[in-house]
Amino acid sequence: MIFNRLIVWEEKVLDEASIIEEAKLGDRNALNELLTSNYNIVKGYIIKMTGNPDTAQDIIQETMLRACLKISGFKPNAKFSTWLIVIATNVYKDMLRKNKIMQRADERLFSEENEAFKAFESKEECLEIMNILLDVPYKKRAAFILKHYYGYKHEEIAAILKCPVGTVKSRINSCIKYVNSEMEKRGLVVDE
Amino acid sequence: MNKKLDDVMKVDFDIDINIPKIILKAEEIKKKRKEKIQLIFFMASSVLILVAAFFAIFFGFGRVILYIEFFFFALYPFMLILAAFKAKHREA
Repeated sequence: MIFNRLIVWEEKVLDEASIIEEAKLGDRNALNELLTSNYNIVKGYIIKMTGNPDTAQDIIQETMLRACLKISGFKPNAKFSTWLIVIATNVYKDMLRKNKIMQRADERLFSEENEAFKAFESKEECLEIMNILLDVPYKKRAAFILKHYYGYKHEEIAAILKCPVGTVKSRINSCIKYVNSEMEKRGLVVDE
Repeated sequence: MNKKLDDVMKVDFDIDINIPKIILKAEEIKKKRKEKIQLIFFMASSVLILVAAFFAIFFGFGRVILYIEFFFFALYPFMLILAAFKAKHREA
């Protein structure tokens, strides 16, 4: 069973490597496949970072465009999705610098069909928690999201955010502490 | 980890992104960049040739320019033949 999974994983990695090579040579279909298969990872990350679907759309579009332009420079040291996350983080940073990002969660994120909404009593509660997270500086937030929702190792996050491993660890801890204390302050129940 | 924070992070949203369109846009940008670089290269080399010619005349090497001109005039027909061959190959 484990052996079969290992084979499937190896085939997947090799498959992606060959698609990347084709995309680097200018194959439009290969590039399309590559971006489509990694689209959801980037989308999830950016939605969590911005809390706003419109801003997220702009950032994802710009990320995909930059990825297309820089694909020939991609080095297979890391996964393609990690490379896309690095680009997305840079785009997000650029937009923050240009003050194009409003740091408030959009209530459309918590519509009743959304899975995130089902665990809560009201839309306001979801929005408040999201806003607490959005109040955290983006470097801390990015480290926290990459660690807890994507399972990246500290070393990988350090490479993505271009900072030492120790800094990543302290950013994650500080983010968790801040969020927990803010939730307690605002009377939102903290379930450990 | 706070469970509520976990739940809030399950947030998802439909975003309309047209990847093939983005790829086409990227190709267009690449093409424009290439043309820009070619234009800059062409202008730089033109300026360089003119400056070199100016200095050659200024320092009394005007005759060298004439020799170079003759050399290029003699070479033009062969270059044209080569270019025609290449164009024919490309068509085929």
